[in-house]
Amino acid sequence: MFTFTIRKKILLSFGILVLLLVAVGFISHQSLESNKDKLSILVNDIQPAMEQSFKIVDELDRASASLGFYLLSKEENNKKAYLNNMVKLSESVKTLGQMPVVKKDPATLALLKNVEEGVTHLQGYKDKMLGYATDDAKNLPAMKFAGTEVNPRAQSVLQSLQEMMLSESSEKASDERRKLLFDIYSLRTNFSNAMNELRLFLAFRNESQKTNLKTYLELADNDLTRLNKYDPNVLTFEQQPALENINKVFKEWRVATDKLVKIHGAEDWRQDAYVIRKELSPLVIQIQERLNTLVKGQQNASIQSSQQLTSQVQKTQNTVGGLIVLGLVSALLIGWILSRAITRPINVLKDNAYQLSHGKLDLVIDTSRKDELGSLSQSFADMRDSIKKKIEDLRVLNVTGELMTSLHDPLKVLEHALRVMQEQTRVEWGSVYLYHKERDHLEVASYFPPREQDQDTQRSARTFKLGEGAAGTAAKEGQIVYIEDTSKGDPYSTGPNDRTLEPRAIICVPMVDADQMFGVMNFSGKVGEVTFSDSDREFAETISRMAVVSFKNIQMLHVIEEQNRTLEQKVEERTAQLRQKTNDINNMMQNMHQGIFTILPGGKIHPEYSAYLESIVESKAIANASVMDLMFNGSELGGNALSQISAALDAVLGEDAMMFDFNRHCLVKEFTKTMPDGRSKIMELDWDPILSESDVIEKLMVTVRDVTDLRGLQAEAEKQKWELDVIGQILSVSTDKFLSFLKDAYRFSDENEQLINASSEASADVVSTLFRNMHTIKGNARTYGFVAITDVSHAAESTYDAMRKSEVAAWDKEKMLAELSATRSLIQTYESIYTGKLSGNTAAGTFVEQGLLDKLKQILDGISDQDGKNLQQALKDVKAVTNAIGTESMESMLDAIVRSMPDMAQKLGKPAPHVVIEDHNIRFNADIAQVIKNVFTHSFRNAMDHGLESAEERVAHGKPDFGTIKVEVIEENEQVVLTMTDDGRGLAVKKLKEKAIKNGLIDAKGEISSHDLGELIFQSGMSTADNVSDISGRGVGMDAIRKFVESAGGKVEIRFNQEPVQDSEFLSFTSRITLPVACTKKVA
Amino acid sequence: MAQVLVVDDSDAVRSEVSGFLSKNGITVATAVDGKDGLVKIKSNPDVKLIFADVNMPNMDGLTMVEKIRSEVGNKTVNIIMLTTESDAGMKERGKAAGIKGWIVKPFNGANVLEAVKKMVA
Repeated sequence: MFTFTIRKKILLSFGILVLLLVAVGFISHQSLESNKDKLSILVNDIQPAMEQSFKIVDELDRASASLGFYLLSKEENNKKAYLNNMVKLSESVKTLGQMPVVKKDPATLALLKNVEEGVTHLQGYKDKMLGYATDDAKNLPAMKFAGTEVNPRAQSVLQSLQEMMLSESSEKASDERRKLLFDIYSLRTNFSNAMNELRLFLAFRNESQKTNLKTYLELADNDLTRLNKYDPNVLTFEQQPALENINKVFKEWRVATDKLVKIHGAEDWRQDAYVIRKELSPLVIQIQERLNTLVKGQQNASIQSSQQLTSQVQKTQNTVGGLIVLGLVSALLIGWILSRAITRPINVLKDNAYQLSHGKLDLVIDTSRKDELGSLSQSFADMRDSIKKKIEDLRVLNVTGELMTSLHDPLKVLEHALRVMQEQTRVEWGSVYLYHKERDHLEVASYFPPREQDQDTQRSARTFKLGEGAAGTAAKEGQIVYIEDTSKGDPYSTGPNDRTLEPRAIICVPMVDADQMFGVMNFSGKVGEVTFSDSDREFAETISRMAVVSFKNIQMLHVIEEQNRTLEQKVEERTAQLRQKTNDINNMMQNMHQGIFTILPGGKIHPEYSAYLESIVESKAIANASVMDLMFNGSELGGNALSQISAALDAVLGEDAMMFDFNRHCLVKEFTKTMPDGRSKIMELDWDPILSESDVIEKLMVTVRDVTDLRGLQAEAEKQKWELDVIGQILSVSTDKFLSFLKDAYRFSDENEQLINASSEASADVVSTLFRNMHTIKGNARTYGFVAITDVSHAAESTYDAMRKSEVAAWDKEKMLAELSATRSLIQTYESIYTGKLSGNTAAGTFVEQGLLDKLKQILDGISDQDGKNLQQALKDVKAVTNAIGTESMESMLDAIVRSMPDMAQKLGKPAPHVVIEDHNIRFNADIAQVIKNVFTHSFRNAMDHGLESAEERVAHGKPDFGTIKVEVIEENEQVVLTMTDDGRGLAVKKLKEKAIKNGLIDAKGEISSHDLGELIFQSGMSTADNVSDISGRGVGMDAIRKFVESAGGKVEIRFNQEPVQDSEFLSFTSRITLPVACTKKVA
Repeated sequence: MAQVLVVDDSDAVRSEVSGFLSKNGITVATAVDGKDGLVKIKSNPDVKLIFADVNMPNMDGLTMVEKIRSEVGNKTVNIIMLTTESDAGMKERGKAAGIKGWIVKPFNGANVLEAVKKMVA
């Protein structure tokens, strides 16, 4: 049976609408097609004919106009235009005659014939008119007449008058003759005037000229009458015939003139104008009238065509409009019918859906319709049923979930899951197999209905491998396996055991959680009783998931309980560790010798800070104080620097981490703070940002150090370093030169001072002297490398130089004195370093070992800025070394004499001795050094000359061939003792005694104490040498030594190294020089 | 292809900042006030970072920044203001306009070069 589905209804309606549209289009097209023909006649035939007619009218006008212009102006281009237009005119008329509209209409054709005749007639005038233009005589008849009839007579009259006047000139003058001459002249004048008027008339044709002519002629008549009255005797022989001629010709001239005036006054005085007026104009007007008639006829035809066209368009409009209205009505009607057919049942469904959405699941749904809406209603009803079931399932699942989470026994959970599945799918038996990972198989864990323990011993032993049987497969694949009837085929059957059982329906649901497999729920029931739809699959999966979750939760609960037991212990341990750490930090903060604090947003100081901060800022009110107040009150920083710090803190705190780098240059690193009691403290600050996890600067940590002492030490070290430089500079020049430098420098600066004080303006002489003096000081200082003096004198010299070069130099006394004083005080510093540190005086220089200077530099260069302890050590070292300045070591003092030993030994024919010096770091003041040098020069020479044997002698006595001289400095009973001994033969005591006896110093027996024996050598003239060498042996040696030593407050003696025996020839001995401790310095 | 736009009415600051950056291989455009800044940010769509002064004639820096966000619609460009003083109101406005932060003048290039390079990379 054919049913009208909604789709078919809609298609049919659209079909009807399309048919209507086609009809409208076709009829519109037909109407427009017939309009096109009408329009074509109008445009292609009537309009061109009209245009051509207008063209003829136009060309006629142009021809007439150019003829007129030519006749008046006689210009060739006008003539050309005239001829041209005449040709065009004829052509245009012919062209119009060829046009279809004209050809077809006899009336129009006749009219055009008339026009053509007129134009031909007009062409006939062409030569005549051009002739008039070229021939004035033909055109103007008066001119010709004047030339033949009037002018010769006028000439004759004037000629005769001329003769009469010429004849008069030879006559004797009298009143009568004068009167005659006047009358002749008057006639001539009036006749000439009459001629003029005649000419004017010929030119302009005015009535006034005619009147004037008449007047002059009357006057001339009078004149002639008067002349004729004169007695013929009065008239001369020439005058008589002339007068007769005048009487005759004047009369003829008057007749001709009257005729001339008449000809020229007539209507055809000018031929061309006359022909135009009388013949051409009427002809042209006639042609124009005919043309007008022609155009009017064409206009009528055009209007008629347009009206026909308009009425036809109107008709088309009406037809199409009607069809459109019909179409619209049909469309509306169809739309209305369609919407009724579709929307009404849809509205019903909408109401159903609304009710359904509000929980009315029991409503009745009409499914009787046969169209799409009928099947939609059916689906709708199915959906309602499915929702009902889902809601029921959900309720069950909810209850099940709640129950399962409340269970604490895993087996109970599984049992409950099985029970719920039985209710849902009407299975009879269920079991749960759990997966044992270590054994890699599924093992039964729970049954439904629950079984007696002993009854299922055998079955409980049942296990499956993964993939074995329906349960194993479900576990392996992670998907539900459903077999409706095992007898109809069980693809998972594992063997004959299963076949012995009666046919069953089987459902196996895997228990999976996050890809981890727990086991399988296995159900079976009687075939036909078990129902397992698609929605039940979801239900089963959910139940399995819930079971797994509960199962896991229970496991987790055990783990948590276990962990809870250990947690307490751990917390205790951690707390103890934390307490320890906190204590450590607190201790650190309490004992650190740095101030540490943090700044919070807003510039307030955090209440926790290191204890030492209080002693640095000397305040206890630190917590929550403003950092700007606490740190920078009383600082030397200006307002700008402070506002910069404050702004930078604002720009950093609470901002992104990078803002610290952007602004840290504004945070001061060092400043001086004046404490309330007026002391100054130099503070050094370190700033570090403390970041939150999101890299925002939460706080700024500031480390403060009081570096006042450190900076003091650094300054002191700097000063020492500078002084050392100066010492180096002074030492590098000889004493003489230094002293002479000082002398000159003082002299020149004194002179400059006097000059400056004495002058009040910059005279060239004074400035020149000032400059020269200062230049000399600078030059000397530069020569000797006194850098500081060079610099300061250069500044003063520059001032003088500027004054020297300037035209009007200002005399800035104060400035000049200040510069001079700076130079002078630096020179004084150099002097005081020389006298103070170098123990120099004006008489002699002091030796300073280069090694000392090197050591000093090494110490000072090695100081690092930041390390206070290091610095203090360095300072100690420097002090030690500078203490040593002005002192000299033993080695240094003996350097010259030791170096001269080999030379001396060679002279004496002995090997060079070894010299051993042990000074135990005892150094000697510079003032005693010379004494010691003198003493040892003598002692060494004595030892070399007398004490040490020749090589052969030494070898013979079993000694090395070279001798050894040993010098030692020791401290003994608050005195310093210098000893010297050698391994030579010793003092020639026998000879000494003999000499002493001889000199009467001792008695002849020679008995003398060991001490006295030693003293003998200090007697004058007691040299024991046999010959006087230039090395020693003048006998003034030892007594001179004693004098040197005693003058320095010391004493000298010799001690024998063994007790003297009565007849011993030589005795080994030690020279001992004892000096007060004050002469020395012990150096570390 | 400028990477950084420097907006300041002071010639000295402009040439200091732009000179430093271009010496370090960063391309820089400059503007002399807020209005100019708006024009330049439109004509330089590649700019990743703006340094802007606060006090300028014609249009101040904060107004310019607000207009860059609203009128120009550029929500991503990094903006750092240059200032000489701190003011809570200004900071609020800056935060609302989503600026990166504030630099207290004088500008110190060496400290910030790494951060700038990261922002324009």
